[in-house]
Amino acid sequence: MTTYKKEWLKIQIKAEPVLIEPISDYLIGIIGAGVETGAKDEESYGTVNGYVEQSDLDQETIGILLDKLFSYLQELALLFNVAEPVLTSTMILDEDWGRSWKEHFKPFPIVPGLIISPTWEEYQKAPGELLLEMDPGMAFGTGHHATTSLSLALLKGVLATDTIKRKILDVGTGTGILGMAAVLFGAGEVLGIDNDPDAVKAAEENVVRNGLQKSMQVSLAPLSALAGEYQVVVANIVHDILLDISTDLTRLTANNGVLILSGILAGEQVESVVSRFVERGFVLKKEKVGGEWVALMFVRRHLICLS
Amino acid sequence: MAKKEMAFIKLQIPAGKANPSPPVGPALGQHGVNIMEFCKNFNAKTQSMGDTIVPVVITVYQDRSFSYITKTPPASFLLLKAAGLQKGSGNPKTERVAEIGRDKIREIAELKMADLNAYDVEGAMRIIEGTARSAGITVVD
Repeated sequence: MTTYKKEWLKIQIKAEPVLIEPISDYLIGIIGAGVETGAKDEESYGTVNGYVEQSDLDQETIGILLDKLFSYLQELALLFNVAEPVLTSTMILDEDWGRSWKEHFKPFPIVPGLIISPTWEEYQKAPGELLLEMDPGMAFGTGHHATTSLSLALLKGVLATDTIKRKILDVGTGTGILGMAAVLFGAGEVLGIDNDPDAVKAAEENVVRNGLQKSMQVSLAPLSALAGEYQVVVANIVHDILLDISTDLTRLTANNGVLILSGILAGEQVESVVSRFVERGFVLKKEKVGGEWVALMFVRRHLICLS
Repeated sequence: MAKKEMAFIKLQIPAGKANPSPPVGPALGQHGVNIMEFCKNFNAKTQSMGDTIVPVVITVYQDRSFSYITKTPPASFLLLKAAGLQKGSGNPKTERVAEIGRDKIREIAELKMADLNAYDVEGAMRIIEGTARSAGITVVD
């Protein structure tokens, strides 16, 4: 991963509400800034913040840019017959923005009886509770996304109803959350794969952190290189990729095995996924919806010849 | 009960390619939004749009959750495109020499009038013309 320190020009404009849209439009389209505005009943309402990457700009260029912006703001004020907006600018240093949300990541029950806790929080589990501790690093899957909890609820349903130690494949494992939860729910053997080395690293660390390394392996191996069959295959990725890998997912799901798919938006995406996997010999057994997201559970009923 | 809104964030992000680097990072990170979760959502929704920039308006709620909508390109994008120019580079020293017809200004103004808070098309046209001047584009009849 590239690590370098960049500077950003933060432009702050306090303006009459009627000017917010044209000012945002200007900052986004003309200056190429990322723009943030406050919500209506917040103190920040009427303030537009623009962030412009400064790696290529010198002080003179910044001066010209701000002058032009200032002229535009004066023009807008005249046009709308309102007070002139107030423009200020500061330089901010690039920091690890991807981690600043961590202070808000608190232990929470992802499904009844299973608590997800970040490594930097202390959590005392109650009798009968299961606990997964994790540091997501740069990987997807803290459990806050609906697709994770939907997949997990389906996975729990499958594993809770039998006593067989099933062999499970977690495709696109991210933080390893689904695979690790499967072990806690009674799976016999889990393989988690991901094509992102950062995710594999995060998942491996999380597996060890939770003492699950005897039951769960994590690998960077491509899906196409895997052999054998799994009684449960789970893939929480995105619609287009699920379709792209449908042949491999079918090949790796055992006859009468379960396939859980998520990362699918309600509506057309569900229809196309269902259609594809039904064509491949799966029967749709359950559909779980969380907001705009859907998780689907199929059972593979027939062995079919794949082209 | 409806969740309480904390901030609106408007960003432009390449379709299917959101990542935690700025401007997504500073804009979302300071509000405690889980940036990777946003990126997964955004990339899932825009992956099929091809090589384009998608303006997105993100609502951050006080419980740090978020929702968002994607929008059509801003008027300024349409303006630069109509004038045959690349999108804003952030470098105003690069002088642009381009012309655009008033009929095109009207077309963009009509399309984006609601967004621009203008009272009428003439008002919206004046906003767009101001944007054009700032971008080094001359409006011709």
